[in-house]
Order: sequence, then structure tokens, then C-alpha cells
Amino acid sequence: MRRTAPSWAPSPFGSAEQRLHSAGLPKPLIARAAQLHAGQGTSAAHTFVEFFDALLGGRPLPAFAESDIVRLLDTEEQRVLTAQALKRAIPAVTSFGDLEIMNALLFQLGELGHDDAAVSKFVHTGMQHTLKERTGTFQSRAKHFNYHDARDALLGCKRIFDAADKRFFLDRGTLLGAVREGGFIASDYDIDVGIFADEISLDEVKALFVGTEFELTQDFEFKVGVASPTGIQIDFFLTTRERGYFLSKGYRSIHNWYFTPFELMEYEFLGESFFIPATYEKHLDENYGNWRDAAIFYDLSYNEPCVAYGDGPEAFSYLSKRFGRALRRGWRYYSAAAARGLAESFDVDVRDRLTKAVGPTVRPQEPPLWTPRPILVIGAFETYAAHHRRVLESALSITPDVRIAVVGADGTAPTGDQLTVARAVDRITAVDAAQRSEDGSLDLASLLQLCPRAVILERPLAGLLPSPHVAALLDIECDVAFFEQSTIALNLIDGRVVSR
Amino acid sequence: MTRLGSFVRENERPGRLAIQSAIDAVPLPAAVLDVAFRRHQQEAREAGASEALITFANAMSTDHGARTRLATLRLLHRVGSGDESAMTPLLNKLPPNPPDELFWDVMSLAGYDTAAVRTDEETDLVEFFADEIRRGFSADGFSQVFEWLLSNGRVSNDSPALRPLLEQLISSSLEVRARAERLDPPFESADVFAALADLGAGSHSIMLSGPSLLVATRPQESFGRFGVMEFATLDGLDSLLSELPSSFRLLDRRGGHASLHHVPTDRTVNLVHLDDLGDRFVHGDGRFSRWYSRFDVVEHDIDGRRFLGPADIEQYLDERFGDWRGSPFFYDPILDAPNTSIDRSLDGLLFVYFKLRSTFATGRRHYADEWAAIMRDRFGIDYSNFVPRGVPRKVLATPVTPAEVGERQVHLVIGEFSRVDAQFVAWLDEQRSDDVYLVAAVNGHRLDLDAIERLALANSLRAIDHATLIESDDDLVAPIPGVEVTTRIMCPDFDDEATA
Repeated sequence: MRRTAPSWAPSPFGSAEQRLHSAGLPKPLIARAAQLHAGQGTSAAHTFVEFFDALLGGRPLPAFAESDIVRLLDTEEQRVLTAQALKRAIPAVTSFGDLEIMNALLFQLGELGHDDAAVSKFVHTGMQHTLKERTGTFQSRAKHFNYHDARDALLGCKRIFDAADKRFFLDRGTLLGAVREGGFIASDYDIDVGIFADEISLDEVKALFVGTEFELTQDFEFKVGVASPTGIQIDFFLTTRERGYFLSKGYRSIHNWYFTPFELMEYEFLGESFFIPATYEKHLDENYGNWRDAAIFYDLSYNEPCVAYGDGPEAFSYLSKRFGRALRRGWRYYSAAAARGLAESFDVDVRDRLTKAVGPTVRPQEPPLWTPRPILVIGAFETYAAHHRRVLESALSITPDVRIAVVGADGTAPTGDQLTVARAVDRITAVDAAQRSEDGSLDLASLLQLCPRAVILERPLAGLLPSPHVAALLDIECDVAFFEQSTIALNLIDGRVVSR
Repeated sequence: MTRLGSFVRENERPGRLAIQSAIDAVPLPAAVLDVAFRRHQQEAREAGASEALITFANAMSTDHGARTRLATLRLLHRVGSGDESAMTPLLNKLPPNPPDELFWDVMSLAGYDTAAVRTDEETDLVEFFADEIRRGFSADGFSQVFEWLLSNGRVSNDSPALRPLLEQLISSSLEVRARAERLDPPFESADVFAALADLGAGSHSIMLSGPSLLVATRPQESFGRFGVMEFATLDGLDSLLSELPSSFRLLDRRGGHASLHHVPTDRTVNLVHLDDLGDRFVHGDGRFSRWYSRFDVVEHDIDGRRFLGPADIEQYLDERFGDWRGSPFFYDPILDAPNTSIDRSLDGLLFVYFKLRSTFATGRRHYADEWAAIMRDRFGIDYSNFVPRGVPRKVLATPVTPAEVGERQVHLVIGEFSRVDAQFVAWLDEQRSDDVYLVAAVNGHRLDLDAIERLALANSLRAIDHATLIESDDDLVAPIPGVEVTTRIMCPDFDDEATA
């Protein structure tokens, strides 16, 4: 941003000096303002005066303050006086933004480091505040529904389907809310459920609601929608079980949802039992990607991994229009996402007009300060079976760093065959022989050194992890869980990795 | 009109309705209006406007005001008189999803011979109205005619006109973006040399750097996004700034960067001090640093303009700007510069934090991704989970596309995939090579839970690129739609071989 000369320049500095004096700014700081005016130019002096004017006058601070003010102080006395002024002003501050600027300035004046605990806390507080604001925005939308109305509507549908001995399953945003929050997600405004086409047709769904308190509101080839008396919209999406995948289509097949086949299981929600995909973690992975935290950016077309565009004119037109609109409005992400869709689905490649990432060559390559903690899965791996797959895929959905430790029989090292089988699994970071102690148990020191997020052990091998080892792992906030043939998935409950 | 269509229309010209209402709020004398209405109605009729169109135009008074009514009547006259430029504005006066009669009457008025085609479902209306659609796309990024055709299912995927028209939409959007980015560039080549002449007149060696070098060496291209004028010096900034020519004003000083205002050109100039580290040069402002391979400073002469700069300008530009050739859209001077790193300092952290919080608060998705990644990797504070992430391709059940297969040969391995042991893994690995796309064809039925489990197991193997279900021998003919299989291999039954 080009800075222009302030409106009060080039009149004598005296008027600003008078103002600062009246506001009670200590003399050394007033003198500094005059120095800046004489030496560094009107812009620096203006920055300085504007900041202290606002600070002492209880007005909103200039946006540039956190990056500009401290640099303009050149003596320890000035720094101390500035810090004192900030501390006096903080209790009266009502704006979160101003509070942040003041804290940032105090960190700079106190010469705190970037890794100081106070600075870390400051960052987390600010981010949580923003996340809460963003979530709150959704909740205040006029079309966000009332929890009790939604609950009644869903239970009403269940009653109608149960009476006809038909079933539907919770899906999409409704499923996400049920498993992640035990309720409805903040950004939701309707209820989504799925039906299998080979169990019930959309015409049959419509017929079920005839003569009930529900009103048919939407009638498409891919879904029907009904509204409760309180205006809650419930959409029934038709899911066809195809060869190798389940398919749910969207409006005019612009978007089509492809899912890994799943069976249904019963799940307790709103005090009742509803059907959901038994492998709901994987289902949600496919539908939303990282679904365990409430994502504050969401676009149906670009952020649902299992969505593919139809090959009809609607889909091509849809993407073309979105691309055009994004370019006109200067939206980088949406331009790039639409361009990618056009290239991958319709062979129209204009990505060379958008900036491409180029890897660093000259700048120092320092390792990242944050890496995900691995999940360690321990088993014999004589063969690779379904329960191994379920556990490993669940682990991979929690963290990208999943490692396998293979255990040999009777305290011996694992055979080459066992390692071969374990190494056959895709996306695993590392496969090694499990480190054992002399007594045959798993070597605790190597486990602690790895500092995993969780250790998942095959149930028959439970004896390799005695209680003291488990306690030591729990002490470093490493969860311990066991898996067996009947294990469906790993889950995160209150941040803890558990198996179910 | 499709939902996206109506949304796009309003958002392409935000405030269109508001402007219209504002204009209509200015009252006109009734007597004047009566005369005008009669005259324009007559002219519209004489030009061929149907009574339905006249009635539609007259009804504008009620919802939009007298002036809009007058404007619509005038547009009817102009269109009927053969003025093609009036067509798009007239179409834009139509409501979303205009009644069929109204739509066809407008097209008839424009001279299209609609009598035969309006009821003939076989006519390719996209081709029929191609000129009109193209005009709308070029002018507005939007075509009312195309939206009507889409809404009424009159767009055929086989229409030879469809793809060129949508490509036209895309290319016109690119042109609009390019025009927008060419407007008001931060500086031009002449500015560079004017500032250099003033700055370089002193005793310090000043070289062109950053965007200045880009613009000076390629004055015909547009690099407005790449930043403001920049010069570099290996000399210290303190002495240079103390001898600053009077044509410059110091705006800001931060670390090794100084921001100046060049009065004669009224442009901002960044002056950076290059630190010589032996094998590299670096300059920074305490928040971020830019690194370069060490270069010799030589004098260049381009079209008679002499300046100091790196000996190998292209290498310098590649290191600094990455993807700069072709002047792509949406370049960010920090995030897209491959030689730039954020300093691990309090200033660096605060810089990233305020950027991240701002992008989360305002919903700027691309920048939220980037700044969250930097916060995580540089400072160990992870909020990247609040931005949607994709999942690896193997997780998804979306159909394989020919683009994914590429030039590789598709080999199908057919079997039960019920037992994955070391022998089977070794055999699978033998089927793999870099030019082979290996597909597992798993025998089983889509409603058989065991088959679904075996399908998932096969897909999770490192050796397998994709897995599909084979329900009958017919499925082996074209197991993956749109993808040709070159080799079919039966999986050996190692159990049988062992017992044989």
C-alpha cells in the first residue's frame, strides 16, 4: 500500500505536539515524535502520532500498529514508557483486534521470542476467537434450523419408514453432525439421508409421505425432499449400488458422489436408533476429507473428495461459469479449483494462466517444526486380512504417518515373509521388525523414542505390552488400543484413539 | 434459469437492481411519461415486438419503475431494428426462467426464424443460437439464452457448437482478468529508469532488482502483480538513506528494506540491502528474507538503457519469481516467491499470525491454506485442519479416468483376493512395472459383504493401482468403462499349488 503524506503535514509539528501533550503522553515520547518528523520524514512521525493519539484517546488503533510502532522507538526509556502506556490502556479495551495489537506490541517490547509460551498462547487465543466467530456466523443464518424442530422432523420420518418396514440412513452433513457432535453441525440447514435404490424407489418414498404431516417439496430424479410442519427440509438421496462402488447423483448429474461400498449399522442418535454406514469414518473421509475438525471453508464442488463431475453439458457449463466468475472476482482458489476441474474432467486446460507453485531452490531448507505423531500398528502379519486393512485405513485417516511393527513368533524376529506381507500395504510410512526386550515384551525405550500418537496392538499380542509399558505410554499422551477380527475401525473420541 | 445462472447474473453485475431502482427513484412528470410511453410502444410495435413483449415492458413500471419501462421499450425497438448490441441488455431484462412465449418472442424479434424450431425437439438450439450465446459470454460471462436452454433441457452434449461456446466463455473470462490486471500497474519501465537516474546519481552502486528487473527487461509484458519498483545495493542502507536525493521521501524503514516515495513519478520504490553470505545473497525486513545464488553484478544495456544487475538475469528471475513467464494471474510476492522464507522470529510469527487470522476471518481460501501451512511448518502451530484437505486417490471409489492411466498399459489381475500372503504379494509385485497400470478384478457380487471386503483389501495393496468387482464373465470385457485393458492375468491359487 502506498503511504501518502498525512493531511496535517506540512504544517508545523507543533500542533501534533500540542495534542500529544494534552493527551498526557510522556515528554520523551513527544520528543521522539518530533525527532521522527525531522529525521525520517512525515510518514514515520504520522504513524507514531496516530498510534499514540488513538491509544490515549481510547480510539481504535491503526491497523499497521503491531508491525510499525516498536521499530520507531530508539531508547530503552521510550520502550518502557510505551509498555507502561499499553498496560494502562489494556483494561479499558473492548475490541478484540485492539487487544491483540497491544499484546503483540508488548511481546515486541519485552523482546519475547517466537517460541515463548505467552506468544503461543496469544496465537491460539486469537485463532480460537476467529474460529468461533466463523462458526457463529453460520449459526446466525436465518435458514439455520432449530434443533428441536430438526429432531422432531427426523424422528417423524423414522416413524413413517419404520411403519413401512423400510430404512434410510443418515448421510452427508447429518451423518457428520451425528458422529462428530452428537447433534447437527452449525452450518447445516437441512437434513440429508440416503436410501438404497434396490430397497425403495423415490416414488415409494413419496407415497410413504402422502397423508402425513410432511409436505413434498422437491421431486427430482436423484432425490425427493419433504418439509415438516415446522419447515424443516429433509432430503432423501437415492444411492445405487453399482459394481464396485455406490453412487449418489446430484442435480442434472453435475456432481456425482462415489463411495466405497458399505453396509449399514444402527447408531444411537437423538435418543433413537438410526442407520448409518458401518464404516462411517471412511465414508466421511471420502465425503469431506479432514472431517474431524469443523472446517470453516467449504465448497461442495471442490471440497468433497468423492465428487466427480458428470459428463453432460450441465457439468461443463457449470464449471465454465464458475471459472469465469472466479476470474472476474479475483478469487484465486476458486479459479484454480475450477481450472483443475475443467482440465481433469473436460480436457480444457487453462492452468498455465494461473500461477504454479515452484519448489524452493536457494533458500535454506529447514525441517518443519511440526510433524504429525505417528500411529504404530503392531501385528504378526502372517497374512494381510480384512481387520488389518480396516485398522490401518482408519489410522491413515487420523494421521498420514502410520507405521507397522511386525512381531515374530515366540520372541523370535519376524520372518521375511511376514515383513513382505506387511510391506504390501499401501501408504504405510515404515515397516520394521518390532523391537523386543530380553523378556520378550515390546521394547519400551524405542516406543517412547518414537513418541507415537497411538499404539494399536493385535489382541493376541496383548501380553507383549505389560501394564507398566501401557502406563508409560499414556504418560506421554500415547493412546493404547487393541484390535481383532471383529474390529471395524479406529475412532477418535475426545481426542483419544480407540478401536471399535 | 439455473440456480447458478441466476446467482451468476446478479453477481456479475452486483448492485444492478439497486442501480436500476436508484435511477427509477428520480420522478418524471406524468405528462412527459405518457407521451414517451406511447411513442416508444408504437416504435416497438413497428419494429416487430409482440403484444406479449409490449405488455412485459409495460409491467416494468410496477416492479422497476418508469425509466426501466422506457428503457425496455427502447430496447425492443432497437432489437427489432437489427441492433445486435441491444440484444444482451434486452435479454438481461427478462426475469429468471422467463416464460417460453416471452423467450421465443424475443428471439423472433431479433430475427431468428423460430417458427419451425420452437417445437422441434431435434433442432440443435445451441447451434441455432450460437451467435447470441457467444455475444453474451463475451460481454458478460453469462448468456440468458444459454441459461434458458439449460433449464429447459434443450442443450445436447452432442451439439458441435457446445464445446466451442464454453471454450469461448472461458477465454473471454481470461481476457477480462488479463484486462483487470493490466489496469493501473504500480509502475512502468520509464519509471524505473527515471527513479534509477535520481537514485543512482550518488556514490552508491544501485542495481535493478525484483520487479524492476522484470519490467525493465520485458517492458511489453504486464507484470503489475509482481510488486512495486525495487532496487538493490550491496552498500549499507544507513549511509545511502542519509544521502537520499531530494526527489525521494523516506516512507518506512524495516531491517534491510526501505520504502521510498519517488516524487517525480509518484511511485513507491523499495530499496533493499543485499547481504553477501559468500555463496548466497540475502535481503530481508525481519519478517521474511529473500535468498539468491551469488551473482556477479554487471552492466546491462537493453535498448540503449543501461543498468546494473545480476549477470544471469533469467536465473535471478527464476529464483525470485518462480513461475513468471507468461505473467500468470494471482501472483503473490511472498507466497509465490520460491526464494522467500518467513523468518523464525517474533516479527515473522506475528506477521504470519495476523495474515492467517485475517484469511480465516474473511474466507480467502487459497491464502488460508498457505498461511496455515507456514504457521504449522515454521512455528509448529497447526490450524491447517480447519481448511478442507483432500484424501489420497486410493481412498476414493471414483471411476478411473484415461488421464489417470496415462500412457501405461492396463493389466487386469483376476481372482478372489481372499488370501494375501507372502507368495501372493511376491507374485503381484512381479506383475508391476513403471509402464503398467495394475487393476485388481475381484470376483464377487456387489451385494455380497465378503466380496466388498475383498475388493477393499485388494485396493489397499501397494502393488494395485485400482480395484473393481467382476460379477460375471461379461464384466471382463470392459471392466473399467472408457479404459482399454491390454492384458488379463488369472491370479494363481497358491493353496492349490501347495497341496498339489
